[in-house]
Amino acid sequence: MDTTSDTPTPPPAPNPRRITRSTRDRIIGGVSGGVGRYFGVDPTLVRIGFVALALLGGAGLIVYAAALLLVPLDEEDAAAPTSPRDRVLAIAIAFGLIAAGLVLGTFDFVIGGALVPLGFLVLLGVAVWWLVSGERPSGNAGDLARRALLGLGLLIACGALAVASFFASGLGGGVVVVGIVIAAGAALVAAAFVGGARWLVLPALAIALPLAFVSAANIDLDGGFGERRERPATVAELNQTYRLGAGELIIDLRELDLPSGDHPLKVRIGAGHALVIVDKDVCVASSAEVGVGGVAVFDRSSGGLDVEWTDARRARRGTARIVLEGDVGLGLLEVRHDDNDRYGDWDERDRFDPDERNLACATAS
Amino acid sequence: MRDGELMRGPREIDRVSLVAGLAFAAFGVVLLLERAGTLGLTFGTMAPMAFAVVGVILLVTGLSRRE
Repeated sequence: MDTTSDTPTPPPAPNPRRITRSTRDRIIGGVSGGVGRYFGVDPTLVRIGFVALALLGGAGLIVYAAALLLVPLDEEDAAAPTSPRDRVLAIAIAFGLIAAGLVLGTFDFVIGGALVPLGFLVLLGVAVWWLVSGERPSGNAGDLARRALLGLGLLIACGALAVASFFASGLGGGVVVVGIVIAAGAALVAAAFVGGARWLVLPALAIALPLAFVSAANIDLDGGFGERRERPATVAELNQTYRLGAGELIIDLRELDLPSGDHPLKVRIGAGHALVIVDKDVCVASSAEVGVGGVAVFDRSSGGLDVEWTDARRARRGTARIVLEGDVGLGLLEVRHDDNDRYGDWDERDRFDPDERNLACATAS
Repeated sequence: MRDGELMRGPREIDRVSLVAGLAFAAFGVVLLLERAGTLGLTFGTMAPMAFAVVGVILLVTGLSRRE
């Protein structure tokens, strides 16, 4: 009686998972085939990635050459980790890379300028479609192109929805947009019981997120668009409130002969740049709320999200004081003595300019 | 049966649609209260909520695919 057959044999220890170059799925050295097999991704995608990286400064070629030298072949050829042919190929790629860098560097790498964005668009489209549909990026080139187009189409449609949501919310239609978001949520809940409507998730997000951004930044686009320059010459012409939806609003008060005392000035801009220019003999006390962006009052500045700005100043005796109240959704509020560098060169601000100060004010109160 | 669909009696429920729908409805109500002036929301409060909505949807989608 043979007893050995009844003895349970221990299962063989699993081989550690290691990355190897493919000998069956290879065009040059089998690197893309091996990487694709290791990560469970279509090797064509890996090849597209290598090509894109190669055109983007040559990193793909460097990585490929390194993989040719360092990554062994499949187990059947593991005895010869790097064949002489692959070594020659890696060296040739390295020399080719150096030569291309020397030659194409003088021609501004024109090919890369067109192909790199195209490659990234294809990858982006495939990734979006993978995320939305759950279809893994596999199959032939035709399947990949179809998925890339579907993904890009979806992305463009959602981008258009997001832009429409942003402007509709900013122009006072926020309640309607909120209604659409709630209706989309209700439709999703109802559809969940009759098979689902997952396609609705992405458009609903594209509508809801810009609305949330507009609400958080308190962006009000009502008040017109474009560049507007106000230059009141008399106190009677000076409005208490100036507003602009989006663009650049410049309020130049240098021609104005302000009498001593307080002069309230409210500036409200939804998105863009507001600049108040005053003479050096006028004191400015300011407070502002900025959703996203910054405030720069002469030599003082602050920026970021949810900016609450207060610069309380007291005027010297017999001096006019402008009490500025700013409300900026997205952008920059500036107060300066001139309109040079008015777009806010923040590096320049680090330099001390003795003229760009609140000279007519007494001390901080 | 698709990923994420559960058999509950005779009906199939798509969990991704259900959870995403509830998340959007709740988010919409918060935004409506903000528009009505009942809530004053800033980025400090809005950003976590928006990330939570996106995160919940991604989470339930991922879990459904795993099943």
